[in-house]
Amino acid sequence: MGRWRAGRAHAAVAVVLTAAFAFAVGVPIQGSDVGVLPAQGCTCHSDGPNFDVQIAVDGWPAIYTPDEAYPLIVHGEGPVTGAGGGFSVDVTKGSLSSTDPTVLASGNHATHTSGAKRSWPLLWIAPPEDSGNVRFTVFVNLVDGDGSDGPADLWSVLVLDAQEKAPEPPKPSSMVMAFAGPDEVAQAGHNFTVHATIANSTGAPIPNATVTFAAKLSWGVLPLGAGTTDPNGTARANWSVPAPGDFLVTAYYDGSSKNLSSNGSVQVTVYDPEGVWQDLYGGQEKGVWTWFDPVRVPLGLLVGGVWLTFFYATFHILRLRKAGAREADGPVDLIKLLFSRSGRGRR
Amino acid sequence: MAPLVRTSSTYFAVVGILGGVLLFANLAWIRQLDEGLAVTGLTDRISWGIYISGFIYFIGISYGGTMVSAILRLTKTEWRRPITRIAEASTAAALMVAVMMPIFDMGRPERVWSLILYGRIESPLVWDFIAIGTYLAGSLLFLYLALIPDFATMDRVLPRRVRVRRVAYRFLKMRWEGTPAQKRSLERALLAISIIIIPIAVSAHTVLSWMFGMTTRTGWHSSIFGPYFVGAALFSGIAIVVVAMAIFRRAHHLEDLITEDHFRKMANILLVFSLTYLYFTLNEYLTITFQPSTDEQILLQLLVEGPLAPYFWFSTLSLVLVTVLLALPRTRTIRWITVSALLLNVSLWVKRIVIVIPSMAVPLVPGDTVATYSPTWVEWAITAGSFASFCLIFAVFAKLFPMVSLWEIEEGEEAARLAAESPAGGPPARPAAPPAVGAKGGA
Repeated sequence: MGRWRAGRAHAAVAVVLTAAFAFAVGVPIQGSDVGVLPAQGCTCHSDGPNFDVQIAVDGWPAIYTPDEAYPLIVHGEGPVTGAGGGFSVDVTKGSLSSTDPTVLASGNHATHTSGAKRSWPLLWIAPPEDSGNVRFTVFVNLVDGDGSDGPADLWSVLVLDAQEKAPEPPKPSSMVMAFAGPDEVAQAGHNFTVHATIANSTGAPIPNATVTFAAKLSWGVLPLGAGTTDPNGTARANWSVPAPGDFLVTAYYDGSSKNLSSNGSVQVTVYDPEGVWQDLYGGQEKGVWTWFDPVRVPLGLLVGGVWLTFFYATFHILRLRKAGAREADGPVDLIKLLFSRSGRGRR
Repeated sequence: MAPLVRTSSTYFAVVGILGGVLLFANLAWIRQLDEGLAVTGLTDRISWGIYISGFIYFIGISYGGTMVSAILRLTKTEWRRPITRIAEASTAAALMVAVMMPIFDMGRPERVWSLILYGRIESPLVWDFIAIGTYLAGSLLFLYLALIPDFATMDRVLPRRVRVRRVAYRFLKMRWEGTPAQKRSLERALLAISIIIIPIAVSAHTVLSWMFGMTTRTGWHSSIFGPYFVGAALFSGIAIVVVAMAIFRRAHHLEDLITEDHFRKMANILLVFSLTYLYFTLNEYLTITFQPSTDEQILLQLLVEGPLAPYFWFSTLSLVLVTVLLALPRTRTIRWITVSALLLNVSLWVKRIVIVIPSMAVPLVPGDTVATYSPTWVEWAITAGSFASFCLIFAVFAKLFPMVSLWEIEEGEEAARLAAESPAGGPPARPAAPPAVGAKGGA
C-alpha cells in the first residue's frame, strides 16, 4: 500500500516537471523585439535571409580617414507590401549616432525604435589612427504591417568593410623662438620666459604638442623642462639664473605622424642690476680683497706654506749642485756621453 | 746593484703579464670613452662604484711611504734604513695610479680641466684636488732627494753599456760628491720635506674623507670619517710596504738587509693600527645601529644581510683574523706577516667598496627602492689595470733604481762602527752624513 502511494507521488512530480519544461520551450515569450540585435538575423519574421531584399548604405567609405565623421543612410527595398521595416547595425570600430528620433544609436550599435520606415540616417565617427579595418554589418527587415510575424515579412543582411587610409608622410614643421617680450629684460635672480612657436608645413600652428627646452651653458646642457603648445602653437619655459651673461636657450619639438621634428634657439642676455651674483657668491669682481675670507685665507696659508717648503727643498737641491765640482753634465756633455764609444764622457 | 744591470726571465715574464693586463684595461677604457659610462654598471643612483673605491684604496696605500720613511727618519729610527726606498716608491706609485681613478669614473674625462677653470674653493672636491696634487709633488720630491747620493753611486759604478741610464743618473745626481756643504744641504732639504710631508699626507686623506662626510648621505655624514680614513690609509699603506719588502727581499736577495726583525717591527705597527681600526669600525657601526632613522636601518640591513653582506662580513672578519695572526707569537714569521699584510690589503680594498656603494644604494626619496649596482667587465678590466699599473711602476722603478737606500745603509754602518769604537761611557756617536763619492759602497 505504502509503496503504491510513493510511486503515485513520484509520477505526479514527473508530470508537473514535464509540463513545465514543455511550456517553457513551446510557448513564446510575448514582447516587443524593437532594438534587439538578432544574432542570426530577424528569425522571428522568417527563418532565413531573403536576398530579394536589397540593402544599401549610402555614404559608407571604402577607405576611411581616421576621426572623420561620415553621414550614412541605411535603405531597404524588396517585394514586401507596405512601407514598414526595421534595421540593426553593428560596427566593429568607431561610434554611431543619429539625430532621427526613430533611431536608437549608441556606441557601435544602432537600431530602430519604430517599424514604420525603410530608411534611417546615421552618423559614423571613424576610429582614430592605426585602428585598421572596420566591418559594418546591417540587418534590414521589411514588414507588411499586418501585426503578425509571418513569412510575408522578409529580411536580409549586408556586410561592408572599410580600410583605414594610409597615413601621409609627415611634413616639415618650423619653430620660432623668442624671449618673453621686446620690452622685458632678463634679470638675474628673476624668472623670465622663453617662447617657442611651432607651425606645420602650411604655416598653421600645431597645438597640444610637447616642446622640450634646454640651456647650453659653459659646463654642459641644462634641461629646463617641457611645455605644451597652446592653440596658437606656442609653448613656454620659465627660467631663472643667478648670474649675468649670454645664454643660449634651445627648444626641440619631437614631431608627430603628420609633422617632422623641428628645433630652434634664442640668445638671452641676462643682466644683473641688483647684484644678485655678488650677493649669492661673494662678488668676485670687487677686487683682490674679497679673496680674504675665512676659507681662502687659512687654505691659502696652508697650501702656500707647503709649497714654500717644497721651494726651500728645491733651493737646497740647487745649492747642493752648486757646491759640487764642475762636471760634464750640461746638455751638450750629456749628449756627447750618450753617443761616445767609451760611455765615459769628459769629467 | 746586480738587479739594475741583469734582467732575469722571471722579470720579463712578470712585466709581460702586467703589460698584458694593462693593455686589456686600456682597450676597456677606450671602449668606455667611445660608448660612455653606459658600458659600466654605474647609474645616476650609484655613480661612484669600484673606480672611486679604488681611488680611496690607492690614496690609502700611498700612506706607507710617508709613515715609514718620514716618521721613522724624523725619529732617527735605525732599522728604517733598508726599507725607506721601498716605502717611498710605494707612495709615488700608488699616487700616480690613484689620480687616474676619478678620471676613469668621469664620463667626459676632458672635463677634469673644468675643476681647474671653474672649481669653487668652497668645495671639498677642489680641496681634494689641491691636497692630492700637493701630496704627489711632495712625495716625488721626497723620493728624489733620498735618491741623489745613490744617483752618484750608480753613475760611478754601473757598467758603460747602460749608457742612457747613466746619462740620466749623471744629470739627476746634482754633482753629488758628498762634500760637507752638500751633505748639509741634503740634510736640510730632507728634514724640511720629512716634516711637511706628514701633515700633507694626513690632510690628503682627511680631505678625501670630507668628500663623503660633508654630504648628507646616510652612512657618510659622520665626524669619525676623517680619523677613520686616515687610520685605514696608514694601515693599508704599511701593509703594502710589508708585501713589497717580502717580494724585493726574495727577488733581489736582500735577506741580509731586510731581516725577520724588520718584519716583526712592521707587524707591531700593523697590530697597533689593526686594533685602532677595529675600534673605529665598532664606533661607526654601533652608532648606526642605535639610529632610529629609517635610512640608517636600511643601510645596516644592506650591510649585514643584504646583497652587500658578503663584502661587509669578509672585510670585518678578515680584519679580526689579521689582528689575531699579527698578535700570535707562532704566526709572527716573515711568511705569516706577509700573508697577513696581503689579506689586509684585500680586506681594506673590499672595505672601501663597503663604504662607497651601500650609502649610494639607500633611497634618497621616500617610496624609492634600494638601488642596485653590478660592475661590468669594463670596470673590472680597468680596475685590474690599475693594480697592474701599480705593480708595473714598482717593477720599472726596481729596474732603474736600487730598492734599498745605499747611502743610508752605509750611513748606518758607519754610525754603528763609530759607536763600537767609542769608549764606554762616552757620548753616543752621531750618525755620519751621506758618504762621499769615493767611499766604498754598493749593495
